[in-house]
Amino acid sequence: MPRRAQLGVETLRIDAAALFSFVDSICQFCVDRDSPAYLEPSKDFFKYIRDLGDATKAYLNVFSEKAPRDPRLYQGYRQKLETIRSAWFEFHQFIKPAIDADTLSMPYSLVEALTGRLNEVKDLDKTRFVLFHLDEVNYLQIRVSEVKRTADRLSIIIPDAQPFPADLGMIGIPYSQSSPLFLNCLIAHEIGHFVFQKFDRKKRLLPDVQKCLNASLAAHAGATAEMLDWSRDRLLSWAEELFCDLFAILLVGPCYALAYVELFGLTTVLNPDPGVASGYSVTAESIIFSRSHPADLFRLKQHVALLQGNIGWWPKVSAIRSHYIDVLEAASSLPDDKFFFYTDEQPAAYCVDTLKGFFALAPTVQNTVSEITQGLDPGVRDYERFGALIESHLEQAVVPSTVFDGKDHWYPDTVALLNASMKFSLESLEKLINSVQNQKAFLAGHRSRWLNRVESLTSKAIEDHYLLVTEKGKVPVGSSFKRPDLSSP
Amino acid sequence: MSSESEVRSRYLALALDARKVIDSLIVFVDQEKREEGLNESLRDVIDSLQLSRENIFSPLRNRLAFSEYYEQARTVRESLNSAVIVEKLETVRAGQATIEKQKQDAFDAIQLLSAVESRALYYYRPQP
Repeated sequence: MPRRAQLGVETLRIDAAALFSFVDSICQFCVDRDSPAYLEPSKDFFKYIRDLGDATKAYLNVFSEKAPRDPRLYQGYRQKLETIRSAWFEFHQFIKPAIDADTLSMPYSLVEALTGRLNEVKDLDKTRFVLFHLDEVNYLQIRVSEVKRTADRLSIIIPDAQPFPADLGMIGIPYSQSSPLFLNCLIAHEIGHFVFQKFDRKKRLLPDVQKCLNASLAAHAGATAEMLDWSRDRLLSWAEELFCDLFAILLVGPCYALAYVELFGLTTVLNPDPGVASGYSVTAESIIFSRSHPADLFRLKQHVALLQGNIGWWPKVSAIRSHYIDVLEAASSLPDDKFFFYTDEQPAAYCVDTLKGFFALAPTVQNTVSEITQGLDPGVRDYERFGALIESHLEQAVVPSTVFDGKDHWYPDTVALLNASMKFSLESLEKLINSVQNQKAFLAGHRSRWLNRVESLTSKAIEDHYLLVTEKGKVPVGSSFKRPDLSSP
Repeated sequence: MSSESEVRSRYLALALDARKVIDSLIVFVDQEKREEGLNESLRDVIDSLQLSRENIFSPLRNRLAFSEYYEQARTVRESLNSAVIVEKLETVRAGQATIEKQKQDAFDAIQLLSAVESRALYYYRPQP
């Protein structure tokens, strides 16, 4: 077939230029701005993309000159442009969400507080997070962390490109959810993904995954390598999600489990029918494992197991008068064989036995989380000490940044604030609503308004905490701080 | 929480890892030059591609995106015969055969790995 152009340096130059324009158009959005304001991690992210763009463009400038002389290699060499283009497709989808996530549109005080907690964990003291606005109602770390995976790999095939900053995590938050403090406790789960990947826990879990699958799949001697590969992936994926849940509870306390109940509407499993002795009827969807995630009620069951362990939270949680706690207890009472997993990728019996392997693995995941968070105060003592005081502030619509216990003034920490505030919202919001004229607790709109107010008051206290604890002469006691000037003689 | 786009990005990782090896092999075929790290890179690919029941749980398999995830391993199987590519890469890595044989096997490996890269990009790309 006659060609319209001789394939070689000239055609490569044209193709490289087209890609150059595409990369350049993305990088133009990552310029320094005075307004709106961004936190340092976001600025670092924009700078990283700019630098990676500069390295990519410099490489594209000489791409045609570096082409192999052997024409048989032309096509294989040319294809590299498509791989680079796809990598930039990947970055492209996260630039706008990062630009939209300025400090006015994000729950940055909560993220900073959680980052502060995380920095107390060994080897995570330098970790920071870039925030992204997402279109979907989901909190995502793992997806945006794919940017890191892509960037690291691209930096290997582009000369002078740098790998993604090792301590920079990425969290996506639904664009509409900058204010709801309690739902944003789910950010702690996404932080868990960063930790799981940072400590390479997937690789570390492999021997346990093997042991569990060897036992659970013993009846499937004919399973192919491909089938085993598939089972391994399922267990690792479920284990990562479970790890993140448990990590989140250790980072923010039981409010994570309660936020989970709320976001996924799990109070729907409760059933007041007198004929249902247990008080709940599970829905099929709440006990099915998906390909990547454990079933909702299995996750809650594991949350309860952790809370009931030696971190000491469960007596406090079970004392909360809320149907959310009934959901946790219902999940906890479900035996493992109530859960199931079905997919048309493998025979049904094989899926069931793969799932059994995960049940055997779950305690190892619990131990892994405890090992990583060793030394991190779970926060129950400060909650015990300040919870009622925080609630009394909220009842009067006062920011609980500083609470007085009759002897000293205290700056309660994030975990105490979040959990006491959530307890107040579940148990006592009516007290606040009833103290205000023309507000009716039975109206969802009024209730929602005052719930938002409680969340705002708590957010403000969390923000204040990080200013107050820089005060000269403050006295650290546990995770909280005592104010020096007003202590009694 | 993972999503469909996370799975898609695994294909991109596979394409990028394939490209890393293709780049080194192109230099070898075109200039008869062994870039620094070529042998180690070939060793990693060979380890990743040698899928058997015995090494499913080996951390070596997770070093590259040829077999880190099920989707990647499946794409590789769709695109090439692992035994053939392993043999070709071993020839280049060992460096014992004549230079012509090494270059021919390296060229064949480029073709095979390009097929993997291309298929992975196909699965990665969003369709308009």
